[in-house]
Amino acid sequence: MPPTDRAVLSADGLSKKFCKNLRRSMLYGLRDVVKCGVGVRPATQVLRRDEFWAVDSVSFAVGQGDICGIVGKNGSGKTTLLRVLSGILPPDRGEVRIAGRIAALLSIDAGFHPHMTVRENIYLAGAILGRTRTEIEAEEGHIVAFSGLADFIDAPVAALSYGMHVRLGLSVGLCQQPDIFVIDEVLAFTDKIFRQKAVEEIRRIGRSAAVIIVSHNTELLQSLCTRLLVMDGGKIIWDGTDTTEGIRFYGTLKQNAGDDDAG
Amino acid sequence: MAKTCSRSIHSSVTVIRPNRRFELGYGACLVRVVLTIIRSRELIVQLFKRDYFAVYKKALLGAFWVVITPLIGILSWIFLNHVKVLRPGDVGVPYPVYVLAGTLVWGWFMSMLRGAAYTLDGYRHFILHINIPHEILYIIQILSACVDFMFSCALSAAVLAVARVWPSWYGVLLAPLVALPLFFLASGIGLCVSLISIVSYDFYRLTFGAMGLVMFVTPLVYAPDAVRNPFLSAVIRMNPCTYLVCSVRDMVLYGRLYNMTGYVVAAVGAFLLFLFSLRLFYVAEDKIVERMI
Repeated sequence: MPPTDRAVLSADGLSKKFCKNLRRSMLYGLRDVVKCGVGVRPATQVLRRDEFWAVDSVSFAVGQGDICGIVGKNGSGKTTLLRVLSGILPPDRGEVRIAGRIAALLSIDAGFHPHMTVRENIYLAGAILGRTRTEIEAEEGHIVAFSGLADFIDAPVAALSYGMHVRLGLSVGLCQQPDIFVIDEVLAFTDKIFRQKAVEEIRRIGRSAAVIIVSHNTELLQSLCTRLLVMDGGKIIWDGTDTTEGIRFYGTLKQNAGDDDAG
Repeated sequence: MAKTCSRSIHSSVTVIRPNRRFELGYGACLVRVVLTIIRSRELIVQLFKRDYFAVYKKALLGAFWVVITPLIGILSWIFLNHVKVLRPGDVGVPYPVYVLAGTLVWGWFMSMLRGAAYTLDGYRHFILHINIPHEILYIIQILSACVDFMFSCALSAAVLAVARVWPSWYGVLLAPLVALPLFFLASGIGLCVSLISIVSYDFYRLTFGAMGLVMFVTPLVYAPDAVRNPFLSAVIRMNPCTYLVCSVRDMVLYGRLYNMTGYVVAAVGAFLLFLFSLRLFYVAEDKIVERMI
């Protein structure tokens, strides 16, 4: 889909490559460091031996009101794409244009310290997501209420179950009110009630912002998303608003892959 | 929750493209890093608190470990001197005080070096999931080393008082300035190690193996005059740490630099190394970060 006027995020020819050979990866890494050091562009445009495109010439745009699901087999490039979109990894080719603030929840516990209390971790996670102390102070009560962790507010995060941990991370993330919200498979391991609450919150955010969500849960994607991208081999191979059709396409893809594996 | 969360309106457009930092010069990199640190000060404070104080939360003795560790070091040297294992030579002040001052500065230097070298590897999970400027992780490590050093200095002041050694006021005032090149040297070596050790761990091991040797050719626990071997004397003279570490110690204990010429040369070299490494880190870290996956 070409960039549109209402697009808040547009990717154009986005590519990212990795190396599948460890020793060669080390060698390329050293070579790239030396090249950067002497002011020469490292070899980003072409593939060297054992390198492959983890994300290959991906172009799409999302606008306010879009809840865009991304689905694909393991290794299809979903997480790498999210990392590039959120600025964690720079692309090797192409570009991403982001109008407004992007918040990414790629790992629910990144940044949390197990020995710090829930309250301390709310401030920490808020700061990591770019909030000021005053903003977090204003939102603290709502984050605690939304997460349902009021009884554990002064307990160390290590005392929480994994599901509670996820609820805390999601609650902090969902309160950021970004223009683009990127979520990577973080709704798993939450109980049904909280998941429903989180889905409603994502849906609400999706009315005024763009949401990009990666999940293997096709039921969730089908009920939540207004648009679906199917990825395979680093490329977008299906892009449309008929999510039911998209999920069916993905099912066929998985089945064929299973047949290939069996063959 | 939704009703009260503030929503900021952003008119700016961020464009993410393939990194072109390699085109930047030394000055531009330095300015960008400094600006990033200033802009990220709130995050630095939060991450520093997370990394520094949270470490002691699970220890019964808590933050007392900050002073216990150097105290054990001090007691070890006093014991070795008491049983006459060491022949330090004439150092002009009580030997434990001499050793304490030298090892304290050396410990701070090594702590900064280890911290800087740990910048990328130590935050691997963090770096792969959160978009934050990686240079602030280096600052957090340096801050931790400096706070540890301040606690140790407070403890050492008590030892000086017991030994009735009174440093000159201008020596104490000038010591932080004299210590600045040590920060440059530790950062210069550490940032390079941080980058390269991600692709090859050999570099990390080699560096810290070599630093173990460098410590022995830095006159921390003996007076340089006590060394009779001409080869060893030459190595001590060529070692930049001799001038940088010993000048901080001598400034506090005697109110003078260890060796003015040697100090100036070593300080200039340390600053140039720092500039080189900071730029290398800034322009090349993303090519290294993608190797962490």
